[in-house]
Amino acid sequence: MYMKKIIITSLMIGLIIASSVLQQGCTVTKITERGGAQLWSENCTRCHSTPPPNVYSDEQWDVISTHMRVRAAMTNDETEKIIEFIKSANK
Amino acid sequence: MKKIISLLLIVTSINIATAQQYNNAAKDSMQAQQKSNSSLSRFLLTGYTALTVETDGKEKFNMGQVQFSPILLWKPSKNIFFEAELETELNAGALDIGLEYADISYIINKYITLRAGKFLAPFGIYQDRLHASWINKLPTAPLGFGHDGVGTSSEIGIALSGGIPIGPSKINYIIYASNGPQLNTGKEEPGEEGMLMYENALDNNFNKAVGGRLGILPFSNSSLELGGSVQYAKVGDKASDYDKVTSLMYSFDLSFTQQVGFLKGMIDVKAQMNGLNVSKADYIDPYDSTGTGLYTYDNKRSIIFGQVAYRPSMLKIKVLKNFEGVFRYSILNLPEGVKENEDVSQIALGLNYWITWRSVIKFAYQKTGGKENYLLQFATSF
Ligand code: HEC
Repeated sequence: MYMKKIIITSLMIGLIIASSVLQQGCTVTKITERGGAQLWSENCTRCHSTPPPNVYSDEQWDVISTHMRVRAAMTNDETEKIIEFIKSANK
Repeated sequence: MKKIISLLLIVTSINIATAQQYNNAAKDSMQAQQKSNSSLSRFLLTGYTALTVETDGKEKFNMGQVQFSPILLWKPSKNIFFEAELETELNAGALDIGLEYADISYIINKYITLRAGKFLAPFGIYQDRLHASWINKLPTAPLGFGHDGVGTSSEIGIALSGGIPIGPSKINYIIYASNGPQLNTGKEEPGEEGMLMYENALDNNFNKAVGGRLGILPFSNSSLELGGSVQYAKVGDKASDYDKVTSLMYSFDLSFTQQVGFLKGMIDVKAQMNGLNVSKADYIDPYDSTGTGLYTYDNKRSIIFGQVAYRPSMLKIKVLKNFEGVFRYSILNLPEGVKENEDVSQIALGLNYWITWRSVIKFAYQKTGGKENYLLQFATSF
């Protein structure tokens, strides 16, 4: 009973993932080639809604970005690019 | 009792530690101000709060669930970071206070961070990343997840963690050694024999639990993450009949978030399976009238949840954009041979309205076993 439901659910999830992977097509850019704005919009939403840059000061962002780097095990380069973008948008 | 004492011990030591840190920080910031305001020592007080109303539509109508969790973040220098969360909850008239985490991290280099203290267990994704009420898309935790569930929720010890880019993909890892869980022999709480007690500030044996998690994000847009976690520990009291009892727990998790053009919105999928295997041991039978009869079982439990959420974030109409629908299915599988063996499953359906990025009103319908429930929750971080 359980097994059947689990299999059906996993198949559906698999389909969604597969279709979006296809959507991505062949335009795979390396993470190192992605800009701060893109990394910001792609990464923060993985766990929660993306906060707009203007809700914290640059100093507060500095603390939060370290919190997220440690908590979300984001890479060093990603975190630096994202924080740079946030600070530039936070004027 | 032991728990209370150990909790007190941590709280006082942290108080002392933070007091010292506070002094240092005050000094730091004074010095920094002298250096033309380029202070590197930074504090942030954040946290979250939630108010929940629950009813079964017949007998129960409870408005008394209030949760308030302040979080202190402190970055005294470029590579040092401190985080602490106090979780307070008013539930059915009783106030529960817990130190959710308090740990300090030192960023050794780009790829390695050292952490020590009490930290949320990197065991799957629920506890570490999803449990905060402004993040969790439903007002409740999935069956068996959360505190005292199947699988550890926090650990006291040391850890190494980091994130590493590999071509278009990236991985993140964490490995740790901690006090680990302890076996409940049922002597104090009959009916709970064979279960594990977590968050132990005082270890009951010399052995340390070891564990870790590896997460892989194969796509360059970070939309998909697959994770696997394990933890191994000796759980019995030293020099007792249970000193050879071990526990092995493992977890698999999946997270997928992406804007899907033809659906005009954001799809968010989260799933996790936890398995727990405590080796065979003899326990006092809680149903034996003489109180001496023994029974043996292999504590193999597992829990699973799968959740799909959709938010029409690409629509032009602002009001609709802020709604989100969620469906979650969760299962708790109990071991063969345990007294009161009954597997349970739960369906939860939710409709959320996002007031801002961090404030949400959630309405949910939940059916657990045969029991129905309605919940309304307001949650926000601050
Ligand atoms: C892997 C999951 C994950 C990712 C990715 C993530 N966060 Fe978070 N974030 C969390 C969790 C979990 C919390 C809640 C912390 C707590 O309650 O202990 C949080 C809290 C926050 C907060 C509240 C203040 C604080 O520091 O607690 C802000 C602001 C925030 N995140 C911003 C971001 C930004 C910006 C990004 C993208 C660069 C991001 N997050 C990426 C998991 C994540």
